[in-house]
Amino acid sequence: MEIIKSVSRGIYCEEFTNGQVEIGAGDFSFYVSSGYLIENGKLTAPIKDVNLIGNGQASNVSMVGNDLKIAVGGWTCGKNGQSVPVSQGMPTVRIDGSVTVGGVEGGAQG
Amino acid sequence: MSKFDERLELAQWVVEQASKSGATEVRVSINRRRRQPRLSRAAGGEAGGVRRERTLLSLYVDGKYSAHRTSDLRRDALQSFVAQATGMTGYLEKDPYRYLPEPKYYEGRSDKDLDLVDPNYGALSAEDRHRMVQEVENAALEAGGDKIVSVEAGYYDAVAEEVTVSSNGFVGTTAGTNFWTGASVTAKDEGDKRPSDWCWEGGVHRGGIVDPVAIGKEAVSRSLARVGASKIATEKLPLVVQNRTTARLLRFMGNGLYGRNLQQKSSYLEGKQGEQIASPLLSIYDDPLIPRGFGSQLFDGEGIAAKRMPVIEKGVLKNYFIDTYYARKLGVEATTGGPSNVVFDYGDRSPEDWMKQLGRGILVTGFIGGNSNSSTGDFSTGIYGFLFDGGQIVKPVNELNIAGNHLEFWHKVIGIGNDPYTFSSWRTPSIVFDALTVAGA
Repeated sequence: MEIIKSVSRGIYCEEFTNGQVEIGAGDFSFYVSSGYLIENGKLTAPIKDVNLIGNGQASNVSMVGNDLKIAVGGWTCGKNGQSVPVSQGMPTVRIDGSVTVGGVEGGAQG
Repeated sequence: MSKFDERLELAQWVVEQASKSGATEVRVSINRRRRQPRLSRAAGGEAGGVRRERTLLSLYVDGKYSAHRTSDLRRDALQSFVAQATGMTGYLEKDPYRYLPEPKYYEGRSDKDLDLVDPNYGALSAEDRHRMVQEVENAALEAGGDKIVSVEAGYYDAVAEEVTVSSNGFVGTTAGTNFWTGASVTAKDEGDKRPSDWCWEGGVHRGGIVDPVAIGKEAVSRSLARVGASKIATEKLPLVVQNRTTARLLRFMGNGLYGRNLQQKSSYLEGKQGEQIASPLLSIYDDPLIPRGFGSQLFDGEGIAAKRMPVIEKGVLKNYFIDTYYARKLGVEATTGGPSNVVFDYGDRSPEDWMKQLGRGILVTGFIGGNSNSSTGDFSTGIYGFLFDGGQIVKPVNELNIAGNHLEFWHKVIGIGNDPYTFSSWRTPSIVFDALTVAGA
């Protein structure tokens, strides 16, 4: 895929288990349960159990794929006892800039 | 006849009805709870109290198990409910490991007075509750002035009583109250950043709420302290993890301690009992018998008589949390299914003392996201807090991350604070870790 080819060093996130967003401050955190290291445009080593952390205002979407996928399964959004069913999905995206990848040997730029 | 005696008699009667309907074994709990929330207008306004009474029924029929609940406590309604529930259980699959705890686990119950009910609960008026919220809210608004965007203040109290009877000889009653007040405050920061933080305090008795004004002020000062937070370059730094937030790391570690994960072969602590898994400074106990403890109890959720149990002693793994079901599957003795009050061997130094000694490091005041793999012990989580140097706070930091494996990480503990966090059943101290990689820019 062109997006992967365009990255010299980064990570390809296949699956997240959980995350947290501080909607006021804009900080976010997502836990990668499976993915791959991208080196010179190729998927190389598989990775898991690393956490991504950044701030919504600082991160940059630079490429958007043509592979929109709507997630299988149903979610609801609600407040104060009311809820509505929602669907969600997104294409592959490339994010540049200041997302910290929290592995064991130190940080890398995403 | 007291209310307790009436409900005990009713529970006993339900046990008899279930036996008549064909249940091999049965356990019945009748509980009632009353919860009274009061919220400031910004937090959603007045909320009504919730009063609930219901019966929980665990049925064991010829090796099959099911659980049911109803809020209809009339005897004629209960009679048909029990008969139908027993009948339905017959459609399930057998599970040879699922039956009531062996009665030996009920024995040796302490008769200690845990002082879990505030005798003055009934004297609280609607005005008392409202005034508490007002005090917290006003204190926060005054302290924050135009530096803050909003204050969401609240107050809750609750009273709960439960009677439990089982067909193999368990009889137990519990009663407890609790009281909470606090606020979450959102501050103004550059651009449209709006950092927020909170302070909530409470107790099993009303006296646990010492000073609503101080609580409101603390929520403000915590949120203002986060204004201007930024990340720093990746660096190896020692961490002082603040008492109220260490439970997050301990819960990650604790995933490996449960019978379910051991039996499912998804625990990195399998086979490690008796081994050194952490620094000798770390001693953790499950102690259900603390007067006025949020997690105090004379017996656990299955009826196992409660006792103090070392989990980790001087860094050596002593005991797992194993209920009777997984104990049978694993072929070991049950301990208890999960923690009650979690206490430590506390140190003699404050986090401020540690910050002075360590030179440069991070005071961690919160975690964001992250997870821990219970099979391997690998974890990774976002942190925020303050960079300090020579005992002085340099600046607030965020967007940082730490990662590691529990079997290495907990050996890095170099200090345990003298400051148990008293507003939780997990009375966690501040914990100090030797330098580790803090991933940033």
